[in-house]
Amino acid sequence: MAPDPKKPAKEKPLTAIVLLDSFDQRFAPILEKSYECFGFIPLANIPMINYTMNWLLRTEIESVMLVATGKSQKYAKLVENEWGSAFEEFSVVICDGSSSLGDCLREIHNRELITDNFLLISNPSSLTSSTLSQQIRDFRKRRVENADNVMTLIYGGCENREKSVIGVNSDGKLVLYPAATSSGLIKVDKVDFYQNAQIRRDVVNTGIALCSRLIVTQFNDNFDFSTMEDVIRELLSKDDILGLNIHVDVLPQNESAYMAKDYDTLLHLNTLLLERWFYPLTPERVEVSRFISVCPRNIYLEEEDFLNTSMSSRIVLSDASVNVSLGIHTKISKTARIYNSSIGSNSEIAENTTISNCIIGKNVKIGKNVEIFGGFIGDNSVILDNSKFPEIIIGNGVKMAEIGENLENSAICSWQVDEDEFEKIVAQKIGEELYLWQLRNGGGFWKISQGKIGINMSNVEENEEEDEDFEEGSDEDFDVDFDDGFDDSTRQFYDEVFESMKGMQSMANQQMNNLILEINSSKLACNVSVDDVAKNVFAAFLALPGMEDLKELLVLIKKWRPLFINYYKSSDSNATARKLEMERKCQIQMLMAIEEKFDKESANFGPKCAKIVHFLYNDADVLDEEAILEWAGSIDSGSKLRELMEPIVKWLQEDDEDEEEEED
Amino acid sequence: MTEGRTEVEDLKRNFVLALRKNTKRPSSSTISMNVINFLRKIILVEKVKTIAELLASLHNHAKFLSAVEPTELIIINIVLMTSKLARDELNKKNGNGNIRAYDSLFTLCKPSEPTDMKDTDMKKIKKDLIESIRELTIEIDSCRESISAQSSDLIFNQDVVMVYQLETSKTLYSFLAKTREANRKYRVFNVIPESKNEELNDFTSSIRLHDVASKICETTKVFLTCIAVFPDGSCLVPAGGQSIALMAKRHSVPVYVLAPFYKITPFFIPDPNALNISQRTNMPFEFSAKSAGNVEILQPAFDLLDSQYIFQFVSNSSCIIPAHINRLKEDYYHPEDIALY
Amino acid sequence: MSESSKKNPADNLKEAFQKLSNEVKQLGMVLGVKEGEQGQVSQPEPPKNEFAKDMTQEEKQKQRAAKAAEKKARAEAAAAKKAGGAAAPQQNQQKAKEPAPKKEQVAKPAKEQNQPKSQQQQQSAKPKEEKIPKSALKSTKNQSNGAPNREVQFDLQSNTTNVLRTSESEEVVVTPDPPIVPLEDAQSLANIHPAFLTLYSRCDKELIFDLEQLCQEFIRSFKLFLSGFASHSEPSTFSKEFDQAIRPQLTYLTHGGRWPLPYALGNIVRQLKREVLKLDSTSPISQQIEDIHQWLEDAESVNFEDAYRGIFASIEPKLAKTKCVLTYDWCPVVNHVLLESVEKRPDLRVCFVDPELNGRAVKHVNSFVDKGYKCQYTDLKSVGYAIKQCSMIVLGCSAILSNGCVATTKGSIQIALTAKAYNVPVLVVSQYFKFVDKVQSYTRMALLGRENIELLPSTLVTAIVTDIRILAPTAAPAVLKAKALDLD
Repeated sequence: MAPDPKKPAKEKPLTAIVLLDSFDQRFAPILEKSYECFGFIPLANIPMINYTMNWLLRTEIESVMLVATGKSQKYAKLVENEWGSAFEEFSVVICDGSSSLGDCLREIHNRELITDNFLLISNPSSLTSSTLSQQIRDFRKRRVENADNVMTLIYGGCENREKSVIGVNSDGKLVLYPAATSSGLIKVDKVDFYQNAQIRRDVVNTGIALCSRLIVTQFNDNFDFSTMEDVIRELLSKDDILGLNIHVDVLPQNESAYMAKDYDTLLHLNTLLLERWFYPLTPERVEVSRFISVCPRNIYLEEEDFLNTSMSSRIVLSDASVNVSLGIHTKISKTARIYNSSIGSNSEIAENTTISNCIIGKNVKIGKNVEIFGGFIGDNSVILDNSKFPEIIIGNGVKMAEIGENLENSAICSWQVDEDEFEKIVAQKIGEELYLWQLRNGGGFWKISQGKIGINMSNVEENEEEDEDFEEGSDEDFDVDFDDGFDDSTRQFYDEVFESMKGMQSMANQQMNNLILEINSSKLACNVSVDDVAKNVFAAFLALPGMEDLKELLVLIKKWRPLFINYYKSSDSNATARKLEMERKCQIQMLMAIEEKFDKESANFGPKCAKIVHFLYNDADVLDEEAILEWAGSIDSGSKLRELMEPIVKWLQEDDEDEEEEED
Repeated sequence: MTEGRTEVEDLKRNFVLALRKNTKRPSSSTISMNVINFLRKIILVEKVKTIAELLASLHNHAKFLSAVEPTELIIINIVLMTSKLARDELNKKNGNGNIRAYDSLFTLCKPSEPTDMKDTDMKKIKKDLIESIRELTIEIDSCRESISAQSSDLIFNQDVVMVYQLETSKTLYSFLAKTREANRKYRVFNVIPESKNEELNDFTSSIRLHDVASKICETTKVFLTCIAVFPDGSCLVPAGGQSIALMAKRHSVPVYVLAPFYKITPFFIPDPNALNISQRTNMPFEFSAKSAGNVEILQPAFDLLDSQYIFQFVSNSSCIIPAHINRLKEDYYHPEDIALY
Repeated sequence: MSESSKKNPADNLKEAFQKLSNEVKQLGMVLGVKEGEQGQVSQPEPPKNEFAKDMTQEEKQKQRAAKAAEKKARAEAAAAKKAGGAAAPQQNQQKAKEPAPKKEQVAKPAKEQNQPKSQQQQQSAKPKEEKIPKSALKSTKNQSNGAPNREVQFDLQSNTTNVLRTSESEEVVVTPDPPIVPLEDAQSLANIHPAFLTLYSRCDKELIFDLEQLCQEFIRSFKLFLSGFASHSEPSTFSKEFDQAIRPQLTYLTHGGRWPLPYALGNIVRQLKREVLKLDSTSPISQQIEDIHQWLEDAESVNFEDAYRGIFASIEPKLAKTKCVLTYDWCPVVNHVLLESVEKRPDLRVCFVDPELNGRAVKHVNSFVDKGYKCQYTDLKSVGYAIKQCSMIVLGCSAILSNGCVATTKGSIQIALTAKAYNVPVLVVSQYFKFVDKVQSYTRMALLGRENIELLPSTLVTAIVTDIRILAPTAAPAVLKAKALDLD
């Protein structure tokens, strides 16, 4: 393209939108009453938002929009004071009451603050050593080539710790992305391989995305979207309808980029930073008003004042210590061994202690002979002598000795959680002023991929096997809102169908067509497969109020026959073999729904089973005998259901013989 | 945005940010020019009543800058040079302009501290000071040319010259280019560190650091750049320069070090290792997945080269042997400044 | 006149072809008749000697045909390669593959006998190519006296080969322009045992990482060669025969003697030859073979596993007091020593230096990280900084020359010089078989071709650590004498 003299020589530089908060509740133990703002969690003793601002300085970006929730307003002001002069434009957007990235972006959309392409940093801990100039250039080129190229995700070239994979095709377009519950596993079909999808697991998401305006409108259009991942999945699944493309740009090997999503990656990021992988983004060059001197073996000593640069002569760390960042006035014993950790100011570490991969806050006192192999210790805590901890998270003000309990997947705080505010966390008291916090759904605190959700090696399909996986109990009582193997979207679909049916039931004039329309639109919205539709429609039907009475049930089945015909039977007698096959599958799914209900409420439902099936076959003429026979054959032989179905099966088989005889 | 901050603080901040904004370290002369300009602005803006205050504030800034960028010794050097210029102004005012600070044999009694001066003189002093700073600026600017001008005295026909990392130093490059202009025919071995396979120039051939041992037998001269020169004649060279110098010494090949005057540091660093910051590890990022926390990758920026390995320093005025550096520093720095530091 | 003269050669040619095709048909008939006797012929391997003695004329003819077929196959392949502008390595690889199928052919000469019929008929129009293999055969006949296995058949057929040849040579008028060179290689490669061919191509592809691995693989290949060796001479002449047999193999490995073998490997080969010469000529052949085998086993264990242990035992007291050790480039001996030391003393700091980052020393780093130990890693330009914090340097080597110079990887001189500047001792670890009686290095070695060797002067080396003791580099001649490694 020859440069057009009339066009402006340089494109307007991108705006950056930086989020100051993280909406992930697993960080609650360390945020509440302590740092209060995710962006201010210290990495190498410096609040992480400073690193983000620092690397933004090096890109072409001149205008920054800092987005914070109402609670973090004063922190946003602090950032503005510090960094405002470094950029041409620096604005702070306060989104009161937002609880997710989606909310913030919707707010921005409402205020019409974004008019062009922008760089979105959805997590303040996204750090990179790159200036992103090449990536931004490529993004602009893609936008010009095709207006449907709406987003470019920046990925770092390093294997990620959750071992998740993505599928990318040869143009860099994202084609496969892990589903919500599957912790990094993706479903791949043959088609994907035909289209040259490359499965990559050597890349790590950095949380940096170059977006066009359309992304904001995406968030605006759908109020359910809360994270960037939702949008990505939506765009991928609606690829054929919306036709919007997401691209993936993997940084070259000489550039580093990383993001912290949970404690494990936070500590890894800390280590990477201390090892200077993000040079020129290094701890001592970030904040202008702090003076940090670097000693050999990557030991960062903070000085109080630039006039007293004698810290290096006062601190003597053991020879083995490496990658350490010390705040001011820390007292470390000579025999303590510290690896890959940051220690806040005024902390004390006594003899013979080994601290490895930790972020320790201010005023923390750690006793003798303690071994901590990974932990996040909040301010003002005390760790008593002779304790040994594998990965732990300790909130503020905790006085901690070694406790025998299994501390995996939990955090220890000295106060009870405010359950209204943090609905995803439950806490139990385990000692005096000690509370054990856990995620309600049993997910991993330390690592996202730990815990119950996620170690699901089977595909995310609606099988009954999944139910079993999730029965390893936690002590918590689950509400009706369990996540027991249903894909989020299937669950949603089920709920919607149930609502529709309920609504229909209460109406005087029950138009099946409307119901069918509603169910269909739910199906499209939730993107469920035909099998799922079949099963869930009937399951929802069975769950309707008033279904306990068999007579009512049968009456309603008759009344709603058109609905069932639509889904389970083809009216067209010239249906192709394939269509018949589909039907049979749907009918089997229907029967599966019955089976599931039986499994759940066998006492109540059992006797009705056979009658319902009979009715559906005979009177309502919704089921075909092949389907029934196939399904009956597949029921677990030990199950009571089989016994109940025996008579029907026999009757059907006799029926067949009769028919055959007749035909003869 | 600048609530609670004075103009001076603002200037300081912006200077530091500008320095840190670069992804790659700019050349030393650029840094020194920036420092000088920064100092000029500070002096213009700073409201001081006496020279003593001015000097104190300059020293303050020196300490601040050295705490903020400890590896950039040039910054401190330039500030100290400015401070010397200020003292010179003071001496001129007092009519002691011709007394050198170091001639203690002749002056039994000289004013050891700058006396208080009246306000009105401040403006004139400032004006003169700015003038001297301008001269200093010009001198810094012309450093490269003056060093390059000496190249024809040092490189002759049939010479085989070894240089280290030619692509990182403009001074070195112009040094060699000048000789080419003079139509001297000589060969250059350029020792390049990593696998950069480009042949940058037609007149150099690239070799690797581990090949130096085999090529040093053919070499007649070695030219190195430096980062700072210490009063005892030792200097900081980019990492890897030391092994080249050691090989050269073994084979009796003279080593010349190009040192513009602003790199001559008047004080000793007690532990150069503390100064020696790692740069980015050049390993691919995927290595970090396994290695982070377990493997310490050492990538120091400098090597300390002893004075015994250096034959001569090529400075902008002339060539100096290492033993004379100590004397040379007096031209640029005042002893009291050094003592304060 | 010209026409007649033209006709004459043409007629002659036609006659020649006619005769040839007749003879071939006869041969074919012969073969066809003899198909009933496949049973006997199809077990060549075990009753080798009997086979040699009980040759009948027909069987000889069969074998002749078999070898002719093989030759045609090779010739065809060689011609095709030549047409495709084959480079030597390609040939080697193909040849490496060919010995394998050839072996199979030996086991089933029956199949071949059906093949030659068709092949010969195809190739009846190409008499020239038949000639060349046979002429080449004659020249390599002398070479292949002691060659293993199938080649033995050729020897015994030499008379008949000549007969066949002379009978046909008269009729051939057109002298071809043969592609001798590739075919010769093809021919000579036929003698080389596949194990060596594999070794050669692996080295070519740089799959062999270092000298130790090369020596170990060489010993293994040799064992294979030994186990496949067929001898049919008297026990008294066995050693000579074996010696003769080894020669072409070694010649092949060294590119026809163009480049010498790497030092340490040369030592092993020389010792091996000495062993072979010293064989007890009175004991039966199998015993002698067993002796050589035993010697190879010993060599493998003495020079490697036991030596590693010995070296570690020697160096351990020195390392016990060291705070930080530095090593350069990859060497399996050093790796073993350092891993053992770190297991005994976890607070030992180890630093690995590579000529350039992400080079061979990453293998060291990986071995440490996999076992959970911490280490340092750096490149050659940072060596000044690294050595300042170290108290000992341990280097591996490829050979120790008789004047005490150590042959190491390029860049070691700089390490040693920097160490000297900071007064850090430099220890070189080496097994005994690496001591060589030479004083100069060569620019290029066979097999490990890269010119990556540098000679470290003995003044820069503090001591050499061997399996039994630590000695000064100037003590190298004493070791040579003691271990009988010197040339005489």
